[in-house]
Amino acid sequence: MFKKNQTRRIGIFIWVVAAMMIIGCPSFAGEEITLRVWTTHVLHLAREKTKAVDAVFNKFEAGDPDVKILVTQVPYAEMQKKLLTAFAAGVAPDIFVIPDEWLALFIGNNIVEPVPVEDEKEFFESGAWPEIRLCLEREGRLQGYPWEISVYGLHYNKDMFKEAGLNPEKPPKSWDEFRDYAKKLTKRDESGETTRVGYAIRHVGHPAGVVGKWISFLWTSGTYLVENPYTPGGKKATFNTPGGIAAVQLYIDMIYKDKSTSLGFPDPRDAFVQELAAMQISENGAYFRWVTEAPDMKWGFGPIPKPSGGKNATVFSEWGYYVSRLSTSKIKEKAFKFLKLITNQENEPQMKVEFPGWIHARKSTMLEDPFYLARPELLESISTVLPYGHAYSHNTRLSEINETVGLYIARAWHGEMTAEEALIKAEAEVNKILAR
Amino acid sequence: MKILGSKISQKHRRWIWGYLFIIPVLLLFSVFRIYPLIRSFSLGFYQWNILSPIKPFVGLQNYRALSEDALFVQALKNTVIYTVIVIFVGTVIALFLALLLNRKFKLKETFKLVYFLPVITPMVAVAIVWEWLYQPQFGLFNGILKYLGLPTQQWLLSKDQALMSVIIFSIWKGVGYNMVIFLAGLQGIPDIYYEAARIDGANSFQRFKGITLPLLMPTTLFVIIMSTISALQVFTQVYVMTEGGPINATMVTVLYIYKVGFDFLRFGYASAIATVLFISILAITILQFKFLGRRAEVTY
Repeated sequence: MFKKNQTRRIGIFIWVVAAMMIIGCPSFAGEEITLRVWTTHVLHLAREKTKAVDAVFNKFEAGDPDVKILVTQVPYAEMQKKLLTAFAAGVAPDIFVIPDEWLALFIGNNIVEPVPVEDEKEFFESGAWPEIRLCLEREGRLQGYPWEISVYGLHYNKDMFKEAGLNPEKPPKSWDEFRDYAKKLTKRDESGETTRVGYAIRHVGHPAGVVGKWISFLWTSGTYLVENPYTPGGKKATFNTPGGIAAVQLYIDMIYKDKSTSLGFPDPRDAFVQELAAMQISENGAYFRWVTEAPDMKWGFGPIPKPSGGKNATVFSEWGYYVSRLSTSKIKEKAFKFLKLITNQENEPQMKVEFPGWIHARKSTMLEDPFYLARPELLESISTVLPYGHAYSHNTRLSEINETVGLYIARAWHGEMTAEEALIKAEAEVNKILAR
Repeated sequence: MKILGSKISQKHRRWIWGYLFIIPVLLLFSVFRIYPLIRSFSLGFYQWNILSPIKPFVGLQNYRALSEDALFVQALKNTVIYTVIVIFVGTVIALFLALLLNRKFKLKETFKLVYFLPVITPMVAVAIVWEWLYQPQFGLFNGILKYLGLPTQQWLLSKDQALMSVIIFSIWKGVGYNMVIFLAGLQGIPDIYYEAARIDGANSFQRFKGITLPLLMPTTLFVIIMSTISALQVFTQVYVMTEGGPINATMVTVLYIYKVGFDFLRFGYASAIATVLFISILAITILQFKFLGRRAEVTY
């Protein structure tokens, strides 16, 4: 049937295919598990860059030599989209690091595996801040382990305070004081152009960020974004109140009446570290930037100013390590083992060695942190501010709510509408979103 | 050659080989272009959240919602403004540069390179650089304005200036490409027409109007059509420089599709917007061919 040469060629072809199949076969020597981790800030898991992190990884591998950890960095702007599409496609990571504002969406889509009950008990019995539950607990179960724990406060430049004749150890406490301080701290050149704002506001970028930096003012006036904010299914917007309007109007007055802030300045943290702003509100984790980018700057951290008759309030937020519900039970077991190790009392500070000033999960650890030992007043400020912490709403539509509210309040700040108009329109849109 | 007992002619044999060679490309094109296009059309009739197992058929609801969507209307308006200005100004500048570079002078090739360099530089990289140039406090542009004693501007941070700032960047980025196309078109115009016109006493403007413009029409049509298609789909520079802000002053259609799909997970609605955009681009292109195409047929 076949000629001699053809037979030889067919024979060679069969041998080549067989060899490729043998080479391509998986090894049966031992079952290696790969734990895939996605994070936006790879430095806290970059064992090749930090010896302390490498030492913690080595501890884990000593106990579980068959587990390989593969860390992938995903830019923040892409993380939510990439995670959700990866889950939809069935190729999601086993561990992912996300902020708590996204947690409601992920839990609503049944993606998160809660921390085992006995591990949760052990974690809090080791002295972890009980406030951690504000962000990471849902339906009575801890959903993940904390990575970045943030409390928002008023960052202020002490030298600028002194220069303006203000007490550098006493940041403003009330809205009136806040406006007064901001006016005194604002600088202009001979042509009248503002060269330094008393307070830098966040008005550009993702609307959720706009809301995040402003929402503490809303809370201090006794107002929340939605009804039953700490349940997933609130159906009514509740921010269109005199308190809500006052919180929006505060910024409008500072921009147009006091001229102590401006829409022409960059991101508040950039403005603060470049000494273009005397005050700004953001997470305490921003210390990391002050220390590394402006090491000579003398700065303080205080509570968010409140209106007269209002309550102290601030954002308490956490980025957490979460385990995917879609992973196999063996992988989930290894994932929780890994997370338990990197967040225990001994190892947690090592994992955060590249992030000076970050809050540890336990006060006892902070008391031993060289960063806080050198700055006892800072630890005292954080301890003061922490009890005022409010978590972001647990509503599953929080992303869309923030997007809508952020857009309308920014439009009011840009002079396109009054504070009342902005909140009326935002309320109508948010109610439509909640009704969908 | 015989297949199944019947003889195949040489002509048919050539056809068979031809199709065999293009089948792989056709398959790839079908899988990565045609199928996603058809799928996208069909998704527009569903309420499609990628994580939800329930994806109900909603008919034309997504399309009806477009007319009530103020942000979609704004995105469309911004896209049209962007397109009109970029096409008009960009085409005029590109033609002007091509006319200058069509002459013989020293360093001509260097100038060609300088104008073409932005075209080959990655969009994201240059967009980030321009963000810094536009920075109100430290940026080069305000530095120059200050030096000249002129008032500084907010550029990308101003809701009134942000779109124009992105347009200026886009024109700078794309003008070199159209310049090269115009240059090729100019070099295709035979010199004898210009010589004849000179002999008849025509001045440079008359030669430009009577010879250059009409004979350059096919090239101009190509530049306008391709630039229009590209401008209507603007995304990268807006995403990098402003993310559609401040307060959606630079929100454009494709960025809105991206937001609706990937931020709000409403893929059905995003597909409906994409379909509307596709039909709009197709309609505009057909109209351009119809009205400008007639003027492109010039013979002397």
